[in-house]
Amino acid sequence: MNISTDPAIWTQAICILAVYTYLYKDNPIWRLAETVYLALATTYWFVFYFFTYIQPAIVDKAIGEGEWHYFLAVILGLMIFFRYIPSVAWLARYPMSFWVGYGTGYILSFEPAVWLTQITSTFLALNSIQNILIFIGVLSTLTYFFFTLAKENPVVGGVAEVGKWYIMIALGSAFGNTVLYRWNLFVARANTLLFDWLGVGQA
Amino acid sequence: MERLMKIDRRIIYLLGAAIVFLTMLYPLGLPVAISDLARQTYNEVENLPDDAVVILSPMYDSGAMGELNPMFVALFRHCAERGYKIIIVNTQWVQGPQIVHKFATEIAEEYGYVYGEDWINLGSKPGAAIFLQTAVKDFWEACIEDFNGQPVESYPIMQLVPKVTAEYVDACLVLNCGTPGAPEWLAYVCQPEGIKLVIGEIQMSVPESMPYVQSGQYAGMIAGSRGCAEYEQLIGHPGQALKAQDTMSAIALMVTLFIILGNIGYLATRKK
Amino acid sequence: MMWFLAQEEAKPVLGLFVEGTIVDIIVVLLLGILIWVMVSRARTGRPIPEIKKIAGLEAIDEAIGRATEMGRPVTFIPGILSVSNAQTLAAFGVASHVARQCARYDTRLLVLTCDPLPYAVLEEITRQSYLEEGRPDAFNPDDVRFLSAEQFAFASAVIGVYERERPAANIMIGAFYAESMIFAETASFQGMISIGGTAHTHQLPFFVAACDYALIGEEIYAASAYLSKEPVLYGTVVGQDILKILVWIIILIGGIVATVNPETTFGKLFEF
Repeated sequence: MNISTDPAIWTQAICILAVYTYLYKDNPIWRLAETVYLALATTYWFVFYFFTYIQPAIVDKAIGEGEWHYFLAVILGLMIFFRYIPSVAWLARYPMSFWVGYGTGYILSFEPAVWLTQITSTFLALNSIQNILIFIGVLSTLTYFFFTLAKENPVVGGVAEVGKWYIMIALGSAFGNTVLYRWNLFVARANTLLFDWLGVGQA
Repeated sequence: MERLMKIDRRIIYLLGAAIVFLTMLYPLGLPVAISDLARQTYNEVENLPDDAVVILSPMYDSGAMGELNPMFVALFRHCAERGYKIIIVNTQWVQGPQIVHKFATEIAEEYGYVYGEDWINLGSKPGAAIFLQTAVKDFWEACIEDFNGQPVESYPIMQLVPKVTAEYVDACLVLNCGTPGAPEWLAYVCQPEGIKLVIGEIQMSVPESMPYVQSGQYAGMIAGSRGCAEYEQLIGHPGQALKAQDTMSAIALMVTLFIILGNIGYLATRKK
Repeated sequence: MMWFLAQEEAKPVLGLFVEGTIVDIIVVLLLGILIWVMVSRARTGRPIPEIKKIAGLEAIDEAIGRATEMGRPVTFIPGILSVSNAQTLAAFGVASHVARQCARYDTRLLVLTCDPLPYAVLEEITRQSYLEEGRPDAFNPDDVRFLSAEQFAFASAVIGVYERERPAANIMIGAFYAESMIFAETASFQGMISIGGTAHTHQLPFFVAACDYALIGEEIYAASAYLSKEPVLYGTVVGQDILKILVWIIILIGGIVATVNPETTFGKLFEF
């Protein structure tokens, strides 16, 4: 065993243990870790946003390079604070509207190509069990998500029921994969504790 | 039977932790069979042209590094072995390029890779989809500076890639753990520009990404820790993922047993 | 000037369309027309296909009722993504219903957010809902909280709220990632009624396993429309449903054509 002398590794190890104490029950050590992490993350993101968005847009571009149109975006962004002034609160909706409209338009320009390929890739020749299973799965699962067709109709209901089974199998598969993923994250932390911190197996 | 339904979760945690620590300290060295998907993914990277330029994008942060760091190491090593030029860049996942820089520097040194000529770390860029689309039109304008704060156009490797298009970039290798991630690279860069996209996916999202592999939109996928272990074997450099497989097999067995026991208990109490 | 740069160098077909996007434009237009027709009909009270009842929705009212009886708060979490995500938008519709119910029964509602934009929108929605129920005085702006923009810091903070405020009902609708299990499990241990809904397939299993009721995938969009009966939402879901039925028919035809003639170029029709 060769215990680390690196303060960063010690901080990591103490934090890992502090967070895992929650698995026993809620306690002050966990709460301390939670509060420190929350404060750290808030400060980190504040600094990150300042240097990544605010400084380049206002200091570098608008003031430094004289690209004054950046101020239009800044003003639009600042309008969100009007919601604290009841008489002009309606102005706060404009930046939101811009953002939602822009986001929707952007997605509609690029996403259809992706899901059209997904659709055409299900044009499968029904000549193998795998293809037949995929084909039935796609159609029946789609049927499950028809919200305007009555599931009481025996045909629609029957196909949707098959779809439900497909969904449950998919969820089971996702569940298994996710559980393993979570354990894998623990393995990585155990690696830090055992080998990086305690130096087990090291001379 | 009712007891089965009321096992204290702390017992499960303790048992799980014991299994993890024991199998890490005393590995069994169980064999890991190589799947068709891992082989396909390996071939997609292996068969790029000798002078290929690849973008390796670590779209993750500390939360997913347990699974994605070994994938980064395996992909970087594979590309370095083949002599490809490697550009590390991501968008929004601020910690990604910082996390991987240490591994990249170590492996680059091993292969005699010169920073700025054979590989570069451009860091994390804000903007998500806006960054990706700008990179297609003008990669230098989109990136501005590298990880060390130097102008990107001052590096020889960046002279090779003025734009992220099929003309200049042979493949994008994206390590994915959330949004933005591989679907954004697909929608805004790889599908419109016809660039090959190979991904490394966290175990959790493997089922969600499989339809993209089946449709050919993802040319290959390293599927979770297990997939990475297979990939490490294929490149001939066993790493962290392969080491973790004994532990993961034991844990999978434990979880399966508890699920079976839980269901037996549930069915028995329901009958009552 | 990144945005404007991104507009350059389009390759026009017929002087108008970017190559390979004609079918995309047709699909988007078709969807737009369908939604526009359905929304117009819904607004003017003309008949449109009805959205059938979604199992699990009554559970929301049940959960709020139980919280009222116990004199404890209800928590609502709209996922962790921003307003540009469709799931977050769906969460807004459900939030409005939950806020109205809470205002009606004088039950305290805690809305917990991870992104500044949904925070602003939800404060507005909650305030409006209390106003519409004639209880503007009962609305407390401090109960709509922005906790952190960092995923696991947000998760920690939510657990803190669960521990300290002891809510009786927990409603989670929107885009969730790894934090979903943490929320659902903690809520279950504390004996809350939990209702979870997300379109992320990798998180759905946890909602299905650990929540009392789960809304699966697209059901969250339909739920939002079903609850609010708001013509725009209602017409949108109905319009999308018609498009889904068309897609269903196209896939069926595609499968039949591919089976009869495996060399078919039917799929190429969608690549223009």
